[in-house]
Amino acid sequence: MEVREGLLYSREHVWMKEEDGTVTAGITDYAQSELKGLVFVNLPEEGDAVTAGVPFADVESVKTVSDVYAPVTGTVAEVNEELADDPELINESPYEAWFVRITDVTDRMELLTAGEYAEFVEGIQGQD
Amino acid sequence: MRERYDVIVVGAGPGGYMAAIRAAQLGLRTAVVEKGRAGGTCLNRGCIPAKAMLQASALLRSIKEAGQYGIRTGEVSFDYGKLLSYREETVDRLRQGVEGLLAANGVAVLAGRGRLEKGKVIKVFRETAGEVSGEYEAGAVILAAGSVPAIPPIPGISLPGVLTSDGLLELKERPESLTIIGGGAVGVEFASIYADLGSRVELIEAMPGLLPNMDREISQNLRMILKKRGIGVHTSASVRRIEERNGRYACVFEEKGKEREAVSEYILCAVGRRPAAEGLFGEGAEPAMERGHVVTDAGLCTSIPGVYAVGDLAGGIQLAHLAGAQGIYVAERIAGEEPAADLRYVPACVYTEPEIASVGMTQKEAEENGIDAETGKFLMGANGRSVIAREERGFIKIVTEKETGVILGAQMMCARASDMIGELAAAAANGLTVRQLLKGIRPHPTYNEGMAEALEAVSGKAIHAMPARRLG
Repeated sequence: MEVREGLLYSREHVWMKEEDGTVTAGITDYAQSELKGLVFVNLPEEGDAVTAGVPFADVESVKTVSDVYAPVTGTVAEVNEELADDPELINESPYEAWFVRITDVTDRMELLTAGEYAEFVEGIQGQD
Repeated sequence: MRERYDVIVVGAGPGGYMAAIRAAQLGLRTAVVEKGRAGGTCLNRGCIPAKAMLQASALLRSIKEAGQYGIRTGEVSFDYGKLLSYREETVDRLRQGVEGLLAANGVAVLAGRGRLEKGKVIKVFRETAGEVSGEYEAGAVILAAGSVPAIPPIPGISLPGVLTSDGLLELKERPESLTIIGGGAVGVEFASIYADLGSRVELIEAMPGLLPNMDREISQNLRMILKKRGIGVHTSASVRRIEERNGRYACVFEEKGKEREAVSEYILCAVGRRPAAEGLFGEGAEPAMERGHVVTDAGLCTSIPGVYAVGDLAGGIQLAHLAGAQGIYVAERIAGEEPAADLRYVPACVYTEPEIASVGMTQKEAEENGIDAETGKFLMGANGRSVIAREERGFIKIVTEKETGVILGAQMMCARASDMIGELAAAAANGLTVRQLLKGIRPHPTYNEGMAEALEAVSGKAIHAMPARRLG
């Protein structure tokens, strides 16, 4: 399982990075490996408002749907349409398969560094 | 002396012929004026021939995919000419059925183009000579003249390789490549047909999603499936011009700020249809019109008392079954009966594979109307019949009013969706609740079980759905 350095992570397994006030977000390698083969992703639309800690997308494997929680509060500025056409990209390269870019960020969840997130995931795996 | 009828219907498409038959059933002396063939656009140039082609093209794809069931087929090919004969035989058979019903119910068929004159007089013109072949008087007139394909003002749109659905159906050879302008129902159905028949297909839609009037998940799901079948899908793309290039046609469009082009043997223009009101009204007999369509009140009456308009001519939703329901409704009103149908709940279907069907409101529309709504959604990947048939990803969504559980609408994309949506149209029109729909047991194994699951999912209790997972 890869935890990429330089990104921030939520406990809901969303990675994000912030550049010039724009937050790019997707789901982590751990999340995709837990969900396995994804067959569909419901993404928000450009212009939608998202709220930190509230679902903004869902990902679907053959029998189960999982909500994806927004790491920040803001406005969806761009959506990765490629994922909608080919959700497997999320399984193949989760850190390249960004879901949305969010601007006008006003609030954020408590976020973890790569090291903290790796520890957090190890903790979950230890429980299994 | 003019011959008099209780009801004269102008146009024998689904709206017109159903109105005429119902009027005759209720004892009214009825005539229908038709310039072409009975059955209108739907039967002769629309739904029916398109569905016949989908029947054949989907079967071809199934045969190609038969290896997964252990069936060996060898080389599979098809004869386009025979496919067209099958299609025309199907159309002929259904049309003869309609003609037979009109005759058997004693409806007089007046051949020619009908024109409404003052005082509910109908003049019938012979299409070729333009001469008046008859003048009739009516107690009530039902205008059901239908619609024709709309042609947008795009430079190059009148080049010979640019066709409407009428022209595409007339081609005697399968196009090797086809660019389709318009990602509505007509566009996506023809894209499916020709892609399955091996043509290279590009689909261009101006709105952000295919089937822009449908639920967004439907449009996303469809786009994913069509792309997997090799169809080029371009959305938020506006067509700038069409150019001829060595006998082929380049459709130049702008997508995401960039100019792109699709070059193909033919271009299908499928951007909608406009009411066919030309020549329908004599001097002083024109009812109130708005943007090309005849204006009607809630009872489908035009601004002229005793003159009604139904179907595509009256604007609004352009679907054969709505035209038919409106025709029956008007005929019943004229005969002094109380119509049964509630015309507010109109199912819409798209015959791609999987099929798409919807009725009433989406969750988003309910919210926009200030209704506290909740939706039950079931993924057909967990439905036995869908797994057996190796269906593509599909789902059923049922939208309900939170407080009462009353069904507000449904959206579905799965096998047999077009057959299943009627149940929800009936439920919504009758104000039935989730619990009332769950009273009946659905048989196993069927696609219809997915409906019960979606109803149960409103309260999070679908049996064959993993509990929603929270990541983390």
